[in-house]
Amino acid sequence: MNSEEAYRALEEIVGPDHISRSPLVMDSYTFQFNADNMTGTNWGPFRPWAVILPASTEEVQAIVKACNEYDVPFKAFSTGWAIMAAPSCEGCLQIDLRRMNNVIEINEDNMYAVVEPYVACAVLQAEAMRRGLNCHIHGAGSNASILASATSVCGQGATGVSTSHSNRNLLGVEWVTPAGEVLQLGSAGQNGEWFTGDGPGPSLRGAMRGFLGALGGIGVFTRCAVKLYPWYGPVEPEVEGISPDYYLEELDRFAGFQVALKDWESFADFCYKLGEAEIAFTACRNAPVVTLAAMVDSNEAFYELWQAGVMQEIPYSMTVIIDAGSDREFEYRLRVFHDLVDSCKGVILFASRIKPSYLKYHLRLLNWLRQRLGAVGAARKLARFIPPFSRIIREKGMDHFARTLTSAMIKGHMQSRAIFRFGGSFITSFGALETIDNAIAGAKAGIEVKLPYIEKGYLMEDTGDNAWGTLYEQGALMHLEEVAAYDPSDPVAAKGAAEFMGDTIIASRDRHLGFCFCGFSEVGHGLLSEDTSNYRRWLAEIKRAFDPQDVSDGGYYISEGKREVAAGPFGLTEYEEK
Amino acid sequence: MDPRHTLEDYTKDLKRCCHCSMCKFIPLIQIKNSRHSQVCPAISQKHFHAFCAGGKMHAALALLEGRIEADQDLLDVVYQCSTCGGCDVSCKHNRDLEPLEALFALRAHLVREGIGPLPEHEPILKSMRNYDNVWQQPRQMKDRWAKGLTVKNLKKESAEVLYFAGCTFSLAPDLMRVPLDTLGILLEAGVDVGILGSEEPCCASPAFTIGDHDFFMEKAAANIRMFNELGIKKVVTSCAGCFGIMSGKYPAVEKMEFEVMHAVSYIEELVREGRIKLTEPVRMKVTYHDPCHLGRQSEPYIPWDGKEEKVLNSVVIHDPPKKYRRGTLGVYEAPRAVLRAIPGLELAEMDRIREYAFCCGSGGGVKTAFPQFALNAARERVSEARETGAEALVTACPWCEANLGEALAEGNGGRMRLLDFIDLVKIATGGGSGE
Repeated sequence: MNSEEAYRALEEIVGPDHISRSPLVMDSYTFQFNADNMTGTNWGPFRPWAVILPASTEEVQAIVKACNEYDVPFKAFSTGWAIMAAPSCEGCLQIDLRRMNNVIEINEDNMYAVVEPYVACAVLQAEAMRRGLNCHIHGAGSNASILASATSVCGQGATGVSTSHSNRNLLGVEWVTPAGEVLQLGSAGQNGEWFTGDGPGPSLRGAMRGFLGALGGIGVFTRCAVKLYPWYGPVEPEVEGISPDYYLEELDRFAGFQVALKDWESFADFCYKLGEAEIAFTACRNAPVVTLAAMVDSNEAFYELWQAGVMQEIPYSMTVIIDAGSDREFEYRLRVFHDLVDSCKGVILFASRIKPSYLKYHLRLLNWLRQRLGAVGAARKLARFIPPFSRIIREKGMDHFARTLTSAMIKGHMQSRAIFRFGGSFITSFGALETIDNAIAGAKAGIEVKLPYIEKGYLMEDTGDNAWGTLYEQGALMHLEEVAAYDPSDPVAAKGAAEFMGDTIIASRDRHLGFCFCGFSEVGHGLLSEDTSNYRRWLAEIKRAFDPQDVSDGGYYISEGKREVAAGPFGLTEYEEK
Repeated sequence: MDPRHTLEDYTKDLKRCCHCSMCKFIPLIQIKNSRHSQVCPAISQKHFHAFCAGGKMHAALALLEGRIEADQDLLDVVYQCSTCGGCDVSCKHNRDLEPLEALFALRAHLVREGIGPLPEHEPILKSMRNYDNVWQQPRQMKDRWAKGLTVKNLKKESAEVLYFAGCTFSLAPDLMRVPLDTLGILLEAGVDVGILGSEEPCCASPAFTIGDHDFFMEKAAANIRMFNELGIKKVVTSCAGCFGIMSGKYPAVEKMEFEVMHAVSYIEELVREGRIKLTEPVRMKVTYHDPCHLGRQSEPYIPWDGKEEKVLNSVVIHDPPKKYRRGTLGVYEAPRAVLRAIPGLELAEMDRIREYAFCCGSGGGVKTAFPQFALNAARERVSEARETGAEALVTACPWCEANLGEALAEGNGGRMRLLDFIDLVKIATGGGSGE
């Protein structure tokens, strides 16, 4: 029950400056991206009852205990991006962990960092690089919390081939359970060291996050350790250019390439070989629409180049960055990389260091275009493409495209541009961590499912292919998620996007494409659980065991208690399986 | 921005914010460490999301949609913001939105509705109306700084350049040396320069930032007409506030037949031309604080009168293409070039510089209404400056100098001194000892 008494108890924990129930403050938390899919507006379905800003684990624990005592549901977030961070039920206390923003430790010997919730990836990366280390930056971008990605939501990012993914990078964890206990998981619970998430010490990684994470529905994670990886670049890479074209300086022993393959089959072949060779820092698939968006500085420039129709003809492409710790190794890796491109009959579209020998690739590309479009068709499209393309090269330099993409892959700073700039919002689906072939099958299904929604005018006309993803752990896994941009100020488009999402869940189930990462909340579980070992039952058991009073708002995780929660997160209450 | 724009004109921007929180950080690629990753003085202190640019945009939308009342809570959030524009730079690295313009439009909306500004701001606005300066000083005091100086009065004579001292440099006793020395150096360099003396008007920058856009329009138009009628071709000012408003906002008001330069740029030009010689060594390590109004907010105004359309179902484009002011074309290099040209002087940079410099905390009416907030921001900046090991913190804005000076006076900067850009130029040209 929300009461004055409860508010006063919470106020005593953090002080009056760090709790608010002003409607204005509340609404700044109610506004979230993807809320439009649920409500047709920018506002989520529930305004928080209050917002609180704890500064320590002790304060978080006291807050959670007070919530149990006064029966106040709570929802914590770190950097808090997307509707899943907002309350899914009435009368909810929003716990904003912004004041917990410390990098507690960077253990150089054991290559891990211990962080609090509000440490953004960009912050940890900067600190890690100063020590010759690097962290995994998940796909949301380096503005987002590394802890949230590691503990609470799937976290796949561009450098996964060399830095794995957030699910796996999670080591020791400090967890304030929904009942208000503080647990330290993995080695942190055994000897205070954070080097592993499993034994010695209790391992509850499967229970606390599993594949997808509980999206804030199972207590509050106040600290965690994440694995770090070697960084062969400078401790503080110089930034050149001016906004919106910021680049990293040219890094020694780093080389970026955009590689195109002729079809999905040769793309898969290239991915397998690249992974097996263990030479890449990044192996990231950006669809033509995103590649182009990242490289130009306006939607107008994007549209002009897109309309030429050339990029659409070379969709099977990948951004590859090769790095190395020594000149000899770098030389070796580059040689292997070029051999791979040649053996897969690929094309290097552009590179940070262009060689005269690359002319052969351009001739091969022309040949592809001629085969697909005929000589006249290819010439027409190129005639339309080359003038604006050349203008950009003239203004920004030959290496503009390669530098932009390479910097974006390393720093993860341009996600908003590639997605949000088009129309204001996006939605994404599929994305299971799977074999390369199955990930590609997901990408193909994505196109098929998306096209009808494009035809209806709901989603951006991107040819249907906006599958983004990367290799992980030297090619052992891949994920490709189907991204769809739309205009959130158009309620019809927002609703259409939600329906698209429902269709993708069905497609991933029926075509055996692995666990669709938007398959959360009751609607998602309803569509998926029966065919996947009835996992919903297990989630429900976990939730009941850790949250007997049902105070940790689980609407976007699993609804297993007394509260009425939003069925979302994508407004799928009205979704009907076709 | 065009001060005629209303809050409703920004509705699409308000709705297209994606809550990414980029506006809280410096551009992500520029982050060098955990200590100096934030760009917004407001969210850095207040923490609730409402205090960042995105949060204020949400508040503006909630207000337009009738979800919230225009009450004291709203005023507290809206005016505890130095309108420094750091958020705007970070947002626009990736997005084509106008967060800072929306914040100014929100203030103007509150003023037009009779809800804003805060009572603490009223004396400033009244002073501008009654005395043509922000300091409630009689108009006659405006030329006190130039007493005894032989210089043309452009109300009576003509000259190539109008030196525009600005209210604060003209009237604050401890800052009067800045216009005096600047003018002295220009005269020494043989520049045909004059002043307007006690008839120098207020630039009306505070009226704009506080949100009284109607008065700003009236005043800016009068100033432009006056300069046009006097045949002035170039205005040079030492005040970042005056420069920023004349460069970034005046062109939206009325046609200007004159060019505006900040003194740092003009002096840099004169140094390059050899008309100012920096010959005397200044053996000192200094760091330079980029004032917001000299840097990101001085970027020239870009008019755009077109329409928005959607292509490819949802991609927003503009016809004609709209150019965005992303803050990177402000005045950053000129002061650094001059400082580097001074023999013996070492320039050490802070982590947050140029378009992503951390604000001193003084602007937007904050110093007047929320002095503690302003001081906290200044402490943060002084601490960052101190970490460079500099012996002096150099800047080129009277508002920054007053606020940073207060933080330094508390001892936060150790032995670090505060200097105006012109202090160093004066020493380097043989005009002072540096003591």
